[in-house]
Amino acid sequence: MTQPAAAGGTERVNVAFTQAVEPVARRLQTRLRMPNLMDVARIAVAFAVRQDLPLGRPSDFGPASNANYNVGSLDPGRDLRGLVLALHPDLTDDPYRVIETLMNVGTLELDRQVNAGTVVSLQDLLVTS
Amino acid sequence: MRLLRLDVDDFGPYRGTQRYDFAGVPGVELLWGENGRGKTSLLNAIRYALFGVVLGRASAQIDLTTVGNRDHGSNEPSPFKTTLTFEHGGQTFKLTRAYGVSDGAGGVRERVSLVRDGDVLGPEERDQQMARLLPEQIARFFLFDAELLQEYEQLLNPGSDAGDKLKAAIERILGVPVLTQARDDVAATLKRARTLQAKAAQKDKATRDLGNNLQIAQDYADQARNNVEALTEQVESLQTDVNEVERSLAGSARYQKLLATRNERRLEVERLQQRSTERNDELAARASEIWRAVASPLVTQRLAELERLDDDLSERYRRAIEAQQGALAVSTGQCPTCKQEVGTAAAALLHPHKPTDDPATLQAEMVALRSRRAALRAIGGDPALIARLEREADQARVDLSDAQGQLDDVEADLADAPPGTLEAVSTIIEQLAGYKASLTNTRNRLAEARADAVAKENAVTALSDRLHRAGAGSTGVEDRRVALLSQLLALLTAAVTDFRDRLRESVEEEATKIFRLLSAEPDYDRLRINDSYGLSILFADGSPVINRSSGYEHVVALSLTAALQRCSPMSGPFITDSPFGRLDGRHKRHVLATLPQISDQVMLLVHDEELDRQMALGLLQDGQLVAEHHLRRVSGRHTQIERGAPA
Amino acid sequence: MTEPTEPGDLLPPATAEDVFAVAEEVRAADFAGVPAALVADVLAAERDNLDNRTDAARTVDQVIEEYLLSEHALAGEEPTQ
Repeated sequence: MTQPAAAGGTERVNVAFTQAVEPVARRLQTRLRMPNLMDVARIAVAFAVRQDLPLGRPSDFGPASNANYNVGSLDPGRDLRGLVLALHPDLTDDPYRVIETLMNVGTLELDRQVNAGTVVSLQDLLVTS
Repeated sequence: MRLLRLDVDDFGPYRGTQRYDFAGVPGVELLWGENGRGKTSLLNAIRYALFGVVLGRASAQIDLTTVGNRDHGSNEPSPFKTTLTFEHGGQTFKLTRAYGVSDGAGGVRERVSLVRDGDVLGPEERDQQMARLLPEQIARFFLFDAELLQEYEQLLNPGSDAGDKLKAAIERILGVPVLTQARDDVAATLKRARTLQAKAAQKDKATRDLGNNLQIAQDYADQARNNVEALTEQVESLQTDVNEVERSLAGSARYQKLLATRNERRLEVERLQQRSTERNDELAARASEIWRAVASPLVTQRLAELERLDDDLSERYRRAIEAQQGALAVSTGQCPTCKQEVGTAAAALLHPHKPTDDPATLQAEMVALRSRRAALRAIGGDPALIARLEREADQARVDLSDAQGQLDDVEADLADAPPGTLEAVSTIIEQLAGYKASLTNTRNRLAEARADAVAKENAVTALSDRLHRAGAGSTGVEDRRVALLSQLLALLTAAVTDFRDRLRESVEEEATKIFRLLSAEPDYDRLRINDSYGLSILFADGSPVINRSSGYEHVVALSLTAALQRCSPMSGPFITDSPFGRLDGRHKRHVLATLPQISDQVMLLVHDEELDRQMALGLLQDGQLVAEHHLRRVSGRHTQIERGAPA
Repeated sequence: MTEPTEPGDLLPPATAEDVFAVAEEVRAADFAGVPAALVADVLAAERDNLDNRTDAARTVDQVIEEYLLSEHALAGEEPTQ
């Protein structure tokens, strides 16, 4: 019935913040007092799926910055990947490409909510909406 | 002793020749005077007449060149004179002390004379007579102000310098030195007797070794004693240093306090800085897992959905299998499970269960679903923990910021200090800490040295006893002297302890009687005395009152001085400046009502804010108020003593 | 042996009496071998010289020597115990 997503295909081994998103991510890193930019990337992915943001890559996505990560470092237990696939069993795209999309759009959305005052601390990200 | 009259000449604000006549009958007399009029000066005039000293704040001696009246406008040292007439043991004495009589070389000097029943005493007899009538050390028991009363607090701190001096003064009026000095003199005599004993023994072949050993042991004991004396001197000198430094700090109390506060707050900021770092680290250690907590609510929700789907699929699968089995039974005429024949009737019953779902498809769906479920369960995440860690880190940061703000406030106050002040105060504080450390150290060494001296002294006694038992004829006289003196010394040592115990008991008893009259707190039951005559207040259950109020310090000090007046046969006047300073109305009434029982001659130097005259008149009835005087202002440098209450 | 020389001594008579009485009580109870008169004389020497430590010590010495001499004269060579 459903085709396991990206089964057997070659998956991305690196994901990156885009050049436009990287400074936003750094601002959030400071704001949320995270030791690594990668922590922001993971939180942004989780936030994006919580917010049910579209998985498709927007047309104005933009080129990658130097803030790029090996997926083995970003997702050592492959749990992020598991999360995306478990929530979207019909996904046919490369899950790490989706993760890259989500970490960028998630960062922008998080920043928007921080600026709007709906999110002021980690605790605001933890409550059941 | 009873004071009859005080004549002053140009003493402080008392310009010209003025007289104060004390009341001739037992009771309380009041001297009214506003602040700055000269109440303390009048007390000082009596003190000067008796002892030649004038005391200022903190009981510091005032330079006599500044005491003479300055109403003439000059700031040059000016002469003054006091004459105190008093009665003691049926004789009348007239004591005159004059300051500023030229010594012929342009300098100043003091002239003192004592007339007893009209006879002028020679200098030596005069001094002896004065020392006998009223030793200066005991002045504090009849002539005092609030500050002197405050010193009684020191009696509660064993080892304090002021407390030791006060204890010595108390024991002196109670006669303890007769025993302690007898003990010390006999001990010195015994020491010499043992030297003679050792020398005699050394001359005799049979006792030579013992004699030599005794001599050596005596030398050791001497060294140990000298060591104790040297250390005692060091302790006294260090205590003096500590007192001086503490006095010099008194003037900069504000900055001293600010510095202490700053140091405390710096430590607090450091502590909170560390706590904040720790909390941040704890959160940072989990940073790479926070995403799990962020996803957690969604994951929980999806897991619940998957559970429902799984239940549903399982049920559909069960039914599909049942239908499949039924179909098989109908088609083969045999139950696939129990292998029994299936009749027509049974086959008709099985027909409604026609298979709708394909079990294999359902099974594949279940596998996929359970794999998703496993993936979601692997996310985990503990939002409560992350929230708590963040809250704690936030709180630590807020605490730190508050503490930093408080530190900044103190730093700002300190920045207003005149240049050099803080450095000077810091230096003095360090110096004080150094002296205090040395003092503690030296006190410990002194305690060790004392124990050592006792051990060495015991060795001497043991050898001396052995020599005595050896009983050689050549040391017989010396042995007998040593034996007698040893017994006498032991007797006097026991008598000192015994006498002190009895004194403390009777002082405690008398002080408690007075205290009960003075105290307005029914739960305060009695006083307990310590080895230095310091008094603690006890509740009825015997537990001490901790941190008693300054008003009660005053009440306890009055109880002690009154008890000492009662316990010592050396009764005298009770003259006090600002006697009610720290007392509330109720205690003022109690003190006033009790004073006539403390001494036959009580004189209070008061102002009308301190004591309500109508209240005083009401309380001191039946002729207990025997006289009133007041101090009238003529000018800022001239006060006149006048009879009666102020208008 | 030593008598108060004049009224108005360094210590009021009542206080001195207390001191003597306590010493005598201790003597009678625990030091019966020490003569009462000797104790009284030593204390009197102190009472009369409270303002002069040197004189007090010298007088105490004298009191003891005089006692030993008199005892020696009375009791021969027998040591006192």
